Formats: sequence, structure tokens, C-alpha cells
Amino acid sequence: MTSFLPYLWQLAWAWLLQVLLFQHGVLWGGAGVFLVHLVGVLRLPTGLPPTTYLVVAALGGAVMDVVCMTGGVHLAASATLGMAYPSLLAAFEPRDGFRPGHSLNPFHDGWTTYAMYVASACALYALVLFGLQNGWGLMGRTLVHTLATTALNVGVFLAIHGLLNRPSRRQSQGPTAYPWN
Amino acid sequence: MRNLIELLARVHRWLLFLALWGAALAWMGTTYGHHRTALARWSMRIAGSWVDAGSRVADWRNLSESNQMVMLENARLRAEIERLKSGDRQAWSAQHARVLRSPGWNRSPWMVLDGGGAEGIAPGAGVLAMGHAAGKVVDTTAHEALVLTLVHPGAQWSVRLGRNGPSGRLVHTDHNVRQATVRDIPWAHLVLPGDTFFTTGHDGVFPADIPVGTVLDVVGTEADEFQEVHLHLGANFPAARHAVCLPNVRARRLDSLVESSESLTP
Repeated sequence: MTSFLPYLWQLAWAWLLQVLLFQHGVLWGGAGVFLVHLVGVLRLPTGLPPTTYLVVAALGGAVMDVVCMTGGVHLAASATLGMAYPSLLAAFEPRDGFRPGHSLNPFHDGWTTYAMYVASACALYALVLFGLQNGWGLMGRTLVHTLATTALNVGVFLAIHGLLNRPSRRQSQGPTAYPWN
Repeated sequence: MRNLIELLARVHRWLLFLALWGAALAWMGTTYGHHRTALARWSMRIAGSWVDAGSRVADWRNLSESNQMVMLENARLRAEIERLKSGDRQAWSAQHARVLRSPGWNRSPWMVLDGGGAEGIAPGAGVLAMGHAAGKVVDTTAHEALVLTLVHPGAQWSVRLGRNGPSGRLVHTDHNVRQATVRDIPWAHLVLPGDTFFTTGHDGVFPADIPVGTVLDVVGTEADEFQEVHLHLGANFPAARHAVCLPNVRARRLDSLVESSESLTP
């Protein structure tokens, strides 16, 4: 439980940032929407029970809906993402597997892998979000908005990690045979 | 019970996912007018499909009774039409009967009806199936009737091309119960595929102008004096389930007169 606390903290500040700041940032006539609250969800560690991902993601979506008065669309999108999360992790699992409790980040797993991981998650989330808002009749519009939102959020997520989650020298230091490390 | 609990434990994530989606959709339905309308439309469509399916089942249960009513109505209308055409209100009557045996169900060319003397069906009555000439009642019991059909190989029937064309003999020559052949139609008369043959009314079995079938093909050469016309019969014997009998009251009177005259012959 103690090891789970940092992730809860990340979930909390991501939701807070989204609610207070980024929900007002709507770009390109509604095609680009910030999904910063997913930063916390996508930082959840591997090895948890699949239901945990579903519950945590759905709770986050429900909070978003209550605060932003979006009426259930974030709940549906978050539940879908939470349901698909174990499969998403499995898709980006390296050949030797994740170590227990590993959380995907660009400094460890590579920027390209992380960008693809974020793009997959954001695309799924945005597809459900815009699909529910637009309906079947506007599927083309939904796809365009999904692509735009995915591209926007991949950039935002990479920027957030590059700026805020850089591993400190103290974190990288450990037992080593090389005195200059 | 234990198995049920195990099953629920196994699929609990999917159940939770579906419950969350249900909650989200319900939430959307109460928030957005568009989604409320869509949900109402879906629910109305689903409810409509269920009601439609239910009514179809009810219709299917009443199908036999409905068919019976339709055939009774057909019989009444047919009798009315023939009375009006002949100008004699007593000339033709009509009786409805179910088909018990029919050509195509087995190798027999005979048809058997679920109606006989007790229902007013007597030998000599013409029989229609699906609105087309089908045969003639030749024998009856109290509740059954035996019908000599158009596809009996020993029978011949008087038919006419169109309402005013040349007359010919309808015979059945092959094993296909949906087809027959018309003979004695002169080459001078143009017969085209799709033309309709009708009864002439000369034989007293059928009223005039009852449709028999449509032309499929014409066989023969210019050297022949007559052409053979292959017909597609309108009375679909394998599919026939109901028939209308047309007893000719006047013909029956004439028959009895002839029979009585035979005893007067020295």
C-alpha cells in the first residue's frame, strides 16, 4: 500500500491540473482537447489486479464528469481505458517482461515506446469520448478529432515527463563498480 | 450456487465494465438532449421490435384460421362473380375445402379434398386452386372428394387462348405437375410466351374465363397445321392447401334429366 501512495499522489495532481486548468484548453475548434488527467492513470504500475485499473480509471472519469459537468462521457471513456489497460501494458511489454511494480516512463522504456503507449491510450480514450458526443452520424468528425487530440496529448505527455519527471542524480546513483557514476 | 459464484468471480471485471457503461449512458441520457433522444429512439425501436415479434407469433398461431377465413371469402366471391357473369343466380355455387392429397406430394395424379357430400360437394363440380382451374370432382364420400386434376394423363380439358382466341385441348404428357400442353391451336394464330389460357366453359365443368396458365413455349414447325403450346399451370399443385369447388346446379339438373331420359328409351 505504501508503494502505491506516490501513484495516488500523481493521480490527484493530474486530476487537479485537468479540472482547474487544462479543461478550459480546447484547441482547433474542439478538435484538440487536453487529457492531462490521464497522466496519473498511465503511470499506474504493472502487476496490479486488472480490476484495480478499471476501478481507478472509472473513478477518475466519474470525478471529471461531476466536476466538469460532462454527464458520463468521461466515465465511459475512462472505464474503457481501464478495461483495456492490462492489454495495453502487455502490448508494450519488453521481451524479458516488466519487473513487478514497474511504471512506464520515457527515460526507462524509451521515448518512442512511451509515445506509442500514450498515443494508444489517448486514441482509445478520445475515440470513445468523441464517439459518444458526436454519434454514428459524425464518425468522420470523430476520427479527425481523435487524431488531433491524440497528437496533441502525446506532445503534452512527453513535455510533462521531460520537464517534471527527469530522474535526479540521487535517484540514478546506486551500487556501482564505476567511481565516476 | 457455488458454480454460479465461481462464474461471477471469473467475469466480475466484465460485469463491472458493463455496469459502468450502463451508468455512463444513463447519466448521459439525463444530461444531454441529443443522447436522451437517441436513448428514447433506441428503446422505442427495441420495444417496437419486441411487440412486432410478439404479434408475428400471434399471427402465426392464427394463420390456419386466417387462411380458412380467406378461402371462405374467396369461395363466396368466386360464386358471386360466376353468378353475375352467367346472369343466372342459381347457376354456380362455391364450396371451400382443404386439400388432403395433391399431385406432387406423391406420384399420384389425383387430388383428395377434405369435403364431400355432407358439405354439398358432388361429382361434376369444377375445382380451383389458387384461383386457377385445377380439376373436376369425380367421386365423393360423406366427407372426402376425389378430384381428377389437369395433370392426369388420361384427361383432356377445353381451354382457349385469351378471352376470344382459338380453343384447344389441354393434356398432360410429362411428369412435371407444374406444366401441361395445349394442342389443336392453328399456326395461323400467334401465340407468345406469357399469353394466358382460360377455360372455355364448353365442358360444363368450369365457368368460362377461369385462368388455366401462361404460355412457356411453342413447339412445332411451319409444316405442321397445328402448334403445341407448353403451359405453366397456375394451379400450383405441390403448394396447394385450399381449393374452391364450383358445383354447377344447372349441369346437375341436366345430368339428372339425361339419366331419367335413359329409362324412357325403348
